[in-house]
Amino acid sequence: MKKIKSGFILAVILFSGLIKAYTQTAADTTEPFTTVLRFTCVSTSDDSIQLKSVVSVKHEEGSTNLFNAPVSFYSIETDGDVKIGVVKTDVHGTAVLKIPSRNTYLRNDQQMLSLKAVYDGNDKYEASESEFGLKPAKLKVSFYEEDSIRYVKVEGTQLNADGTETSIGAVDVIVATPKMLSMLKLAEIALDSTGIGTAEFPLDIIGDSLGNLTVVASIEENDIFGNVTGSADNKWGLQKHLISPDRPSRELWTPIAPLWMIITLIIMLLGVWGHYVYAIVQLVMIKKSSKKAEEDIVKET
Amino acid sequence: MSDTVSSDKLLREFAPQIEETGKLGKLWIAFLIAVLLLGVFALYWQVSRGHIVTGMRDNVVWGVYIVNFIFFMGISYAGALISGALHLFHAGWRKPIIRMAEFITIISLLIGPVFIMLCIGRLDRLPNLILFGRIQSPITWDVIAISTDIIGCILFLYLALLRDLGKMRDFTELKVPKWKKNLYKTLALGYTGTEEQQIRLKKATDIMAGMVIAIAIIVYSVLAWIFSVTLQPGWHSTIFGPYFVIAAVYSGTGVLIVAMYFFRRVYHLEEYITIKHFVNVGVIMLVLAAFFGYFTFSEYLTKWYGSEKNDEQLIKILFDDYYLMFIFSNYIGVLVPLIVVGFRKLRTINNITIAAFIVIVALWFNRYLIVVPTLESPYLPIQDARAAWANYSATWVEWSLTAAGVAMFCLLFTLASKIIPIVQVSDLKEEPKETGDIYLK
Repeated sequence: MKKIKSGFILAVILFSGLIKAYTQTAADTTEPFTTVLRFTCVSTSDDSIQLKSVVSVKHEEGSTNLFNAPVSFYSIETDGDVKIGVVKTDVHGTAVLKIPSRNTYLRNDQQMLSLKAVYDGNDKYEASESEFGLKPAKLKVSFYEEDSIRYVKVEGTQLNADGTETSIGAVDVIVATPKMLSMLKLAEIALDSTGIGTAEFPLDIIGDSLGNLTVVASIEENDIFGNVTGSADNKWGLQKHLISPDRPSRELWTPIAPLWMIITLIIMLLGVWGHYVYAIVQLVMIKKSSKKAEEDIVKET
Repeated sequence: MSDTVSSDKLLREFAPQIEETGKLGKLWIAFLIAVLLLGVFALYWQVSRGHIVTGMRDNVVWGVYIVNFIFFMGISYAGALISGALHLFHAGWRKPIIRMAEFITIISLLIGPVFIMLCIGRLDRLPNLILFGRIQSPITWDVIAISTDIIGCILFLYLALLRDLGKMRDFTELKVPKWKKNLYKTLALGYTGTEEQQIRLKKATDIMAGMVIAIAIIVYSVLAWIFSVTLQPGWHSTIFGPYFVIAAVYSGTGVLIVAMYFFRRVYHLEEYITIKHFVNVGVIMLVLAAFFGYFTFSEYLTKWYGSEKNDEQLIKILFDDYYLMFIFSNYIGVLVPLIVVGFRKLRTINNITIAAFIVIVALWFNRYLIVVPTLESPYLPIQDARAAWANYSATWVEWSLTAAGVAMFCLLFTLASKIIPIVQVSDLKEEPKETGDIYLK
């Protein structure tokens, strides 16, 4: 009886524990997750504005990007928001929409476009939105050589609502080249009142196997222009395989290993395999001697 | 007592283990095959679904497969070092156990590299290692070293087997199938033990004994350099070469003792493998435990004292997330053999075997702690990634294939003992059962 009683109490405790755990889990799962929407706009040199939003979900372990979430882009105007388009996020939680720089969306008093990205959310995820204001602009990158010195030239222009272009003045531009992990900064140029700035181009930048380099000029997080980029290619980079033609390096893409490595390897392999061959020769001699012994026995008999 | 009489008597004694397999033996083999089949299924699962079924991800790209590879390669070098060194030093007591050390070498050397294949996502690109291999790459060093080592070890084992093969070819009382007889005849190369043959065999064996030691050190150092030439916290260490060699021999000694224990029990070799052998190999294990402990302490002390940011982070992970594994690997795995073999009263066959088993597990953990926590704490921080991607946890597929690797090792060991006596019979003269060994006093 005692056993039954204690068994019953144990079952009740376990059952109530399970119920509690279940209800707790159920309660946890019904509460939608908080989402964060990061929204930026980049004016690019092909006369377009890239609207980019990243949607992520916050949870206990940190945050993860939300896949397949519809993000709506709007132009905020005095008569109400005008929908530009809807894009679903990719595996990185990113939704990108391109619009022409010369567009019909209404600008505010400061000639700026006001844009908005909205994620409407659902039962599982909360809604989120973010705004971004910018004046469309353009950066043009070119190169020239003077007295054997190479220069990079950047011209910045802003696109007015009436379709005209005027130069950007007193803005800092970063000139960089994309590398494997990040952008390698080459120079920082302050554009003058005519919207033009130049800087000496470094001679020791490594390009691809033909010396090709992509040079990107960018204005980052400017209060008026937001993000603006422009790029151009040149052949002023060092050719990758010609970095040190007289000294083979240990890098895997160099065709020949360093001489010391080749010599060491040959010595070691010859040493080891020489011993192996010696041992094999001894085995062959053992086999031969047994044959000879057999022949001797046959002769004797 | 003449050598012939002695080895005939021994062959007569060992014949049953070659001639027949008992019920228990068959059951054991069936069990091993079942585990292997589980591994085959896991392999099919992995190949058909890709490496997503493993715990390896972008950040932690190496898991238990690499751990197993290092572990099996380690015990193989240990077998080579032990058998080679004991041969060169003419340690008389080595004879009953040297065959086991040689088997350990070859079998683990065949299994180890298979785990590399399991780790590679694109097996179709494997020939590129040979076709486009650059000797600047440590991976190429490893391919050259391992293949050279396999050939050297097979050659050394063959030389060591030659006299036994000759004896078994001539032993008419052995009731084995014809194919086995033919095998003995072919492999014996007509060796009859003439003076010339003995001299040639001794020369070749001596030279190969020296070579397998050298190769074992080089190969395991190369394996260590694969880690230490990279700029990863915990790997970029100048002592990794000798540290790996010591750890390898240490783990191999453990495997040898466990193998001695089981074969002694199963094949009733109590007369040949005595407490003396356990104590002698145990003393080797004790010395290696001291060296291993010294290297481990030196490695972590310098990292901890240097307080370099990423080393600090790694040590924090080792002491937080891998606390029990770290303690078992680096404290229990060192102290237990030191205590068991160090104190005369504790030196029993069972105690030494238990200590050896602890060493095996500890050294497997040691390899795990070298591979995984470092990949979980790289120089470039892991950002915006799920915890499951940043941290590694082996899946059932990896565990199944690991179990299959161990099963394959045991199966090949068992099958090898069904072809060749597990104890060298050709020059195992009946030594008096002396107890005057210095370690037993």
